[in-house]
Amino acid sequence: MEPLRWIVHIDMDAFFVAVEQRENPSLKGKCVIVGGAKGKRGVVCSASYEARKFGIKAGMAISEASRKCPQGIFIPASGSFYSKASHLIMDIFHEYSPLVEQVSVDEAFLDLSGTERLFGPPVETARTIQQRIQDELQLSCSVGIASTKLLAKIASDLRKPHGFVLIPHGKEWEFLTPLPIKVLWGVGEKTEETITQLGIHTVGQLASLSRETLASLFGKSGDHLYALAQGQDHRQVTPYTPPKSFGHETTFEKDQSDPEVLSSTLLLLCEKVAWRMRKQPAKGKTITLKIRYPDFSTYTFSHSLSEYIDQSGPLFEAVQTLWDKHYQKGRPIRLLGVSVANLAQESEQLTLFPQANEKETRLVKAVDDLNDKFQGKAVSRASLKLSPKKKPGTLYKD
Amino acid sequence: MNLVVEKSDFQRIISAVSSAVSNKTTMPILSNILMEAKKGQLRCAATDLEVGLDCRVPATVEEEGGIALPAKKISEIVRELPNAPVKIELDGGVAKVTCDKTHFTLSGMSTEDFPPMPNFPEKESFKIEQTILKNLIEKTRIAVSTEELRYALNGIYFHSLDNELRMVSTDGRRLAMMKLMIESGINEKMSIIIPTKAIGQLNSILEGEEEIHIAVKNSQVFFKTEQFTLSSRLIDGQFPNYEQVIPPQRDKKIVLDTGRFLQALRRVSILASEKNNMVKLSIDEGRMTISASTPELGEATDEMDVIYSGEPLQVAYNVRYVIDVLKNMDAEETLLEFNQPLAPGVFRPADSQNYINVIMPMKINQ
Repeated sequence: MEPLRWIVHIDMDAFFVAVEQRENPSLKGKCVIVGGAKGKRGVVCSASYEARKFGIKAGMAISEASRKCPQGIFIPASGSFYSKASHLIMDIFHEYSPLVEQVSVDEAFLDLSGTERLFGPPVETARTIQQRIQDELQLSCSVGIASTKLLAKIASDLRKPHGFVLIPHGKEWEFLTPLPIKVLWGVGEKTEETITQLGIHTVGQLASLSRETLASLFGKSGDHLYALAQGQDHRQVTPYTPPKSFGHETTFEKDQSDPEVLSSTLLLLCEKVAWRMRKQPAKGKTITLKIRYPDFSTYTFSHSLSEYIDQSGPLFEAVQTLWDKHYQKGRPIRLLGVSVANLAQESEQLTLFPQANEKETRLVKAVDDLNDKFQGKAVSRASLKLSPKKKPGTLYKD
Repeated sequence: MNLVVEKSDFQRIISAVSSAVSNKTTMPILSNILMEAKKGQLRCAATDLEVGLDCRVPATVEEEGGIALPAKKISEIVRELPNAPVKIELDGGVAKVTCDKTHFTLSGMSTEDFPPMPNFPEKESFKIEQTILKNLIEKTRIAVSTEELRYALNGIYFHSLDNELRMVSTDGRRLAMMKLMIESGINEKMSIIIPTKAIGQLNSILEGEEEIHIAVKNSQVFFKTEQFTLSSRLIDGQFPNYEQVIPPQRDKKIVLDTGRFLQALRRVSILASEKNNMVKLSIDEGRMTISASTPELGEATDEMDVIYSGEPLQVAYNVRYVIDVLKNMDAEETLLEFNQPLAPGVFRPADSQNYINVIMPMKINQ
């Protein structure tokens, strides 16, 4: 028999808002919405529980949020601020297990199996972690603890905020059967609709369907659904998965058609993406440009280079080629995005004409070092210094 | 226009010219083949405004004249005609094609709509034997870059120095160069990049020992024989300084049996990683081990005798690049030379300096 697994899922409660409230206690108990200033473009990144009562959700357009919650306090997101807090949280997790899988800035799985001898019963350890985050960082989180990742994640979501839900070993099935199917990992709106049409609403009902039935309905993912409905989830807590791509995108405050602004925004996006790749370090060869027009029609265009790159020069060159080829000139744009995929850690293939590259590489390295030293504010391209009226959009990571 | 042409001649000329027809064009005339009867010849031509091909075959011309016919249809018609002389006559804007008991009528366009084909500048020309040019092309086209962004590398570089003609191609990771002495001197220093498409077309129509005349004028290159004239726009770009990446001195020298080496690479490449195609060469006194592996799948090794004396060496290359080179190596023995494992590797026939391939090695991550 497999040894008992203790998987913990910890999800911070309204993380961005909580960090803002900690810094500015007068915001406590109010409708706080992080993501953009009122009246400006952008999406909700995080909303306080008070704001959620008005139907505010992450991903909602700021304009819609301000309609639904006119008294809301809108705060622009300050990413570096949150990631600092996130690092401190992850540091606490790492004190208890080497198996910490960070899912996002405010969410992680821990595998506490086999830590009993060091820290005592895993359930107690999970409580200690929750308490420490509260005491040391004045931040609240919700905790789910179970034998699988799926169940731990469902559990942490069950009594938010500041919940603590344990699904004891042997009670998984009992716990899972009455829940709606959408709790299952991988069941989105479309799948849910298809299943509901069969008169199936709970996981228990779904579990009564045969593997064949599910496979005929959903193909390959039918197998996966079948296993999940049976409470099987063999996914491991994997401490670190290298990223598969790097991307940045930006929504303009106003739909933008000024070629100068668009071009410098693309350059800025390229700079950001390339910088993150070099930090990783990683190089990539498939370049994708994303364009969204004001009617929300969204297009992506890709090009594969013959060499792996991690510098903004060749990246921008490739993006510009895609841009010249595909942009409907003069048409206003709502959003631009640049990403690089098809990554290799290091290109093993050496090149014939390195002289020019080498110089550029040294230059880029020097600029990176300066920016590291001065928190990214020391050196940037002159072409990014537009007049204040022509600022490139603010950036959000993928 | 009224003429009779042999079916085999007609088929050959149409199939050659149709390769120059533009596939995607906004100008309807460019999807046509121009046909002209004049002075005992049938002339067919097509162009996509980048590359133009003009071919001639003997014909019995009863009445001179011309028409532009849709390339796709005329090609299909020619392919299906019975084996008999083909008679083509014009009736207004319609061509009547008769062959034995088969008849076609096909509407065409006026020859005046067809873009004028540039004349061959006789004065500026020099000549080479067709088979030699074909050999030069086949040996050097292997390293041409297919990456659109590096347009200056999307062709073969023709570079002349005194009486020496060099053809060079590179994709930034490998380079192929072939040298040839030209007897009839090239007037001025030539430095042109001929695009891949023109090279492909030229290669497919070159045959025989007859000489071909080459000329460059107004950013265009021309190739002319009795049967055809090919013209192409040149790539407007700067070819990199290729000479600086060919190391003049190479102190490590390994003599390899070309056939045996190619065989070993083909075998071992089956298990080369699909991601990087890496093959490792471990060279020791008189012996070389060729190996490749794909993590979590398997590995392959082969061993062969070589002529080498010196310290043991290990070097890695993209196996495709090396295979490309060896396939074009006419010599029984290939010489591999380099200064150190991470420096450019030079592959050449053991008995000649005229064909040089430079392949950049790969880093071996232990």
